Amino acid sequence: MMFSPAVLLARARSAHALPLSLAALLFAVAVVLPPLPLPGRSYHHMVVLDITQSMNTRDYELDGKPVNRLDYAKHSLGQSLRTLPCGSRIGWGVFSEYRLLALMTPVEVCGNYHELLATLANIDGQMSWAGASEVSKGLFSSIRALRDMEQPPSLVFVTDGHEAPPLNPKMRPSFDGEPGLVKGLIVGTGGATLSPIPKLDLDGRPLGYWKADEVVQSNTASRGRGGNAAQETMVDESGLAIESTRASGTEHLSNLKGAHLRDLATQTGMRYEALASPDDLASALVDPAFARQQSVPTELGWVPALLGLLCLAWAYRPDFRQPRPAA
Amino acid sequence: MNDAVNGLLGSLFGSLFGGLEFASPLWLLALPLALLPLWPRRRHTLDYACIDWLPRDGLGDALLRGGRIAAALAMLAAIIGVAGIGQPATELQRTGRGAEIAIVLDRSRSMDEPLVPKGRQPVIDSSHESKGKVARRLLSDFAQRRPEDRYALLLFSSTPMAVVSFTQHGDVVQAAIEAGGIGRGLSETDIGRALLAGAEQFERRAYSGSRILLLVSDGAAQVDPDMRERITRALNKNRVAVYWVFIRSALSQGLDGDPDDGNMPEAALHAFLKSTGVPYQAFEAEDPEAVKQAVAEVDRQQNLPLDYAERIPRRDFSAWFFALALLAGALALASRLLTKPAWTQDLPS
Repeated sequence: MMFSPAVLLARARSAHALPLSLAALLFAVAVVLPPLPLPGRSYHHMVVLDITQSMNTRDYELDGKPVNRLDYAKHSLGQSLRTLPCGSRIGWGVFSEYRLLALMTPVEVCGNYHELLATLANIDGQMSWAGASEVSKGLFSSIRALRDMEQPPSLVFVTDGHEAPPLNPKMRPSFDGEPGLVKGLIVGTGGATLSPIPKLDLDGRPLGYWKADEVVQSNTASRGRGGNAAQETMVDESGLAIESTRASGTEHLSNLKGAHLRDLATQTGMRYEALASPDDLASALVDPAFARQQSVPTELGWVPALLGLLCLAWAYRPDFRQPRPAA
Repeated sequence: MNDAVNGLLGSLFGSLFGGLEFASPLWLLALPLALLPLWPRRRHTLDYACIDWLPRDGLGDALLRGGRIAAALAMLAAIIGVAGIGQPATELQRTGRGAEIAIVLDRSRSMDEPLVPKGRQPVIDSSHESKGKVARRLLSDFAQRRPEDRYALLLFSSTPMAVVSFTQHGDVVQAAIEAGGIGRGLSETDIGRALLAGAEQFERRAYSGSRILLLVSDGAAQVDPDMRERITRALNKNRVAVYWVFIRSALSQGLDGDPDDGNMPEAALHAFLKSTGVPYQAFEAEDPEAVKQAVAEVDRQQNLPLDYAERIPRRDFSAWFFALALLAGALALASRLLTKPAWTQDLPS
């Protein structure tokens, strides 16, 4: 009579046992709850690394040792891969001359983490197929290439902005695409002050540094026609002679061309971020502007389990009642 | 900081649970909560003038104590479950019959030209597929048919570029093949350095199975005698078989032309590869059977077992712990239902 179902049910709902009944119920829900599709964020980036010679400039420091821009960028990217949510995809490409060379279209990061790192490690200056470094054209052509891909990823263009041959300030390549159609981030590498650019042979052995008379110091447009009388200059579209701009004489040295890259970012509707630390890059890569919403089957059993846990904690909460004064 | 705490907790409790790991180890900080039911309390004690009057209730005491232990157990299990206990992704060493294949893929501009059927004249505005596209389709087909093999991939034009190091991840290999379709080819071709770099991919690797260098190229480049010697040496030293998926240029005579004719670098390369002393086989990409032939040829080749690592994805055990929490929680509840609540609880206060 004492333990009839009615009595038990009544007791289960009494203040005394209610938290325990709730806990058991919540644990049961935790066990049977199937994974639910929840909207999750993911990122698809095509990371393009500048592998031209100026990227060999050693103006970063890693573990107390000077490292070159490319190595520092690779290190930072490797660190950043960990912070991307699973389901995100990363692809690699390199920039040299005036164009992008895609090495790998984006693949899922969590499953292919080691493979992505291995390919990143393979990227170096020896891959470069030409000496020039026309950053603006390289950026614009990368955007074009990505635009034509299925489900265009966002572009992460890692460069120091060093144009070789230098640009004429009045005759810069212009972007003919639609700004912002391909979203992306320009990551500026390099220090604020000018540093010498190491010169390497084909196999990557050091040959000292580039000297002032070994690199093109003035832009091609203002040099006029080579091999002709010095007075003869080129003309622009409206037929006016192009003013010859004075060569800076420092093209053999390199620093981060932040203003130039910022300007490119504005033209193309991309964002600009100077590379200061791996953490900065990691947070720039997960900017909500680049996120894609996709539903990810998510295990949520922990939510009812946690509530059940709280019920138990409440049921067995310590009592802080003052002991009654002795009567 | 957060990472450090996570790492510490994870490794501490991970070692306790013998190789298991926690998805969100920070929850383990809640473990002391599980001691609450064991805490002596006075809320459920009776106010009674003389406790000695009451008879001892052995069964009741045992029930109460059992209920509290069950509740502590339920809380412990729930916390472990919430922390996301599971078996980390592991790699199992297996022995299979796959091959190690280094794909050496031509990325020079000549590969952008259309593949014109034999005997036809090339025309402008050709509707034929480009050689590169045919090559990529063949490769991707090949890699899909032999998923157990380990692949490495090198691109080459004026320099060889190692893209993928030996891996079993098919999607990575496919992504590298697919990337070849973005943008035009590069201007120059140095097939000699590419072959050398391909053969050197096998250097300093344990010899664990058939090794194949899969060259995919139209072969439009000469290789000088010095480089030929280095390639021959590297191929023999690393015991690499060479398969050439040949993609014929328009107006090419094919591989069996006169190798000494300076205008037929493909014939010269074919003759050179035949002379290297390692197993060598050429396949014509136009042949619809080429892939099948190549796959069959690799099937025949693999006579040595290949050690490879199979990746087992993470397995989550939290549901088991929730079930344990349910069981223990039910026991605790039963204990409470069977014992009479303290008098004070019955009073509306």
